[in-house]
Amino acid sequence: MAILPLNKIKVGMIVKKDVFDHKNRLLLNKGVEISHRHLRILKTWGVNLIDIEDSIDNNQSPSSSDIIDPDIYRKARQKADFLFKFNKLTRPLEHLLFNICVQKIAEKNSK
Amino acid sequence: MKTSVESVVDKVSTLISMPDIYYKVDRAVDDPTISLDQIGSLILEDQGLASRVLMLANSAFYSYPSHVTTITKALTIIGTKQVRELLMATLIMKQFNGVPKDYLDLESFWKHSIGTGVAARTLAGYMLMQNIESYYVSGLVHDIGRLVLLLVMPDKFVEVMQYSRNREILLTKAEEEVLGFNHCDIGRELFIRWKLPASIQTTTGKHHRPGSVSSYNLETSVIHIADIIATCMRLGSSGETFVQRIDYPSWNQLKLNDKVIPEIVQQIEEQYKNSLSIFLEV
Repeated sequence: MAILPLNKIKVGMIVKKDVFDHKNRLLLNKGVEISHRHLRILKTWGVNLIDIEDSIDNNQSPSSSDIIDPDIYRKARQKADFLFKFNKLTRPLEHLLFNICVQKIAEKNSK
Repeated sequence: MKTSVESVVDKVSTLISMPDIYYKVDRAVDDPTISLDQIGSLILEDQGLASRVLMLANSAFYSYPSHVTTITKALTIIGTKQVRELLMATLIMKQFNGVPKDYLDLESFWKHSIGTGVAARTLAGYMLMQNIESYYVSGLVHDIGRLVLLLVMPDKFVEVMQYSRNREILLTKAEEEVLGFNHCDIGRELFIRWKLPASIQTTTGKHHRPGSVSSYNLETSVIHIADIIATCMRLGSSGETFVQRIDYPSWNQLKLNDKVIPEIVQQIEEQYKNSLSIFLEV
């Protein structure tokens, strides 16, 4: 099973579970092969996550810290520490956002 | 004499106002006897607006297969209520073109606003909310009070910025300590005077204190989180240095799993670039 965000959905993938819009109207039946038209429908109705049949590589969560220069990464962490001084960093959400912040600062500084 | 929220908004009202075309379109959209073509001709009275609506209809937001060339067609794709809201945001942004540029990086300010709008729209999409465009618009204008302050009292604005920098405190807190009110109070009062929808008055007025609202809780929570995400992603800056404290009851209200945040961030990134070209005339 692979639940993928819309931007990872490609033409030809097979829908695993029925897809509904916010008013519970059926947009796509399970078993359907995704076409360009389907992608447009999903986008128009603001559907962001779709359950897709197996054999899809979904290890695509962004983690580019390893391709960033360690020194830039260290400085970015320091900066993010400063920016986050009003957050205690005790909860998962804060950690996620903190890491995203580090990554974005590092990306900007490596350019 | 101490300045008040009312006196600041009184003063700004002598400088700018919401253009009539918004109220005309507003009434037309709610009037069942008025056709799409008629709404289209109203929008066409302002060529700049009309071309903005067309750009939007042709943007990746809607990924319509063929090129949209008429306003009526754009209205059917985007929806009349949605166009009304986007029109509102465009007109509000336009009113602040004349803000002095020496004290604040305006391009960066609008980038943060657009980033927050896109983040709000994306969150609302994940939450399967209706009319995600209204979240986009609420995000676009959430910090407008800062521009009002800049227009009406540039010296005080600079004082607040320095105060926040010297003491390393949140800009919103600095506003409260120096002025006795913050940019949220100003934005809310302005939108009340302009008779804009109550939801946008609330999201603008309470995005730093989402726990204190009695209606439009969800909308306000979304803008609160979207603002934080845009700040973390370093999408422009409204002048604020720090990431405000996350209000967890607000986050819980969104009923989203932490794990979707990386995907959401990626989507925001893509849509943000697109949105910049529509709203920032570069």
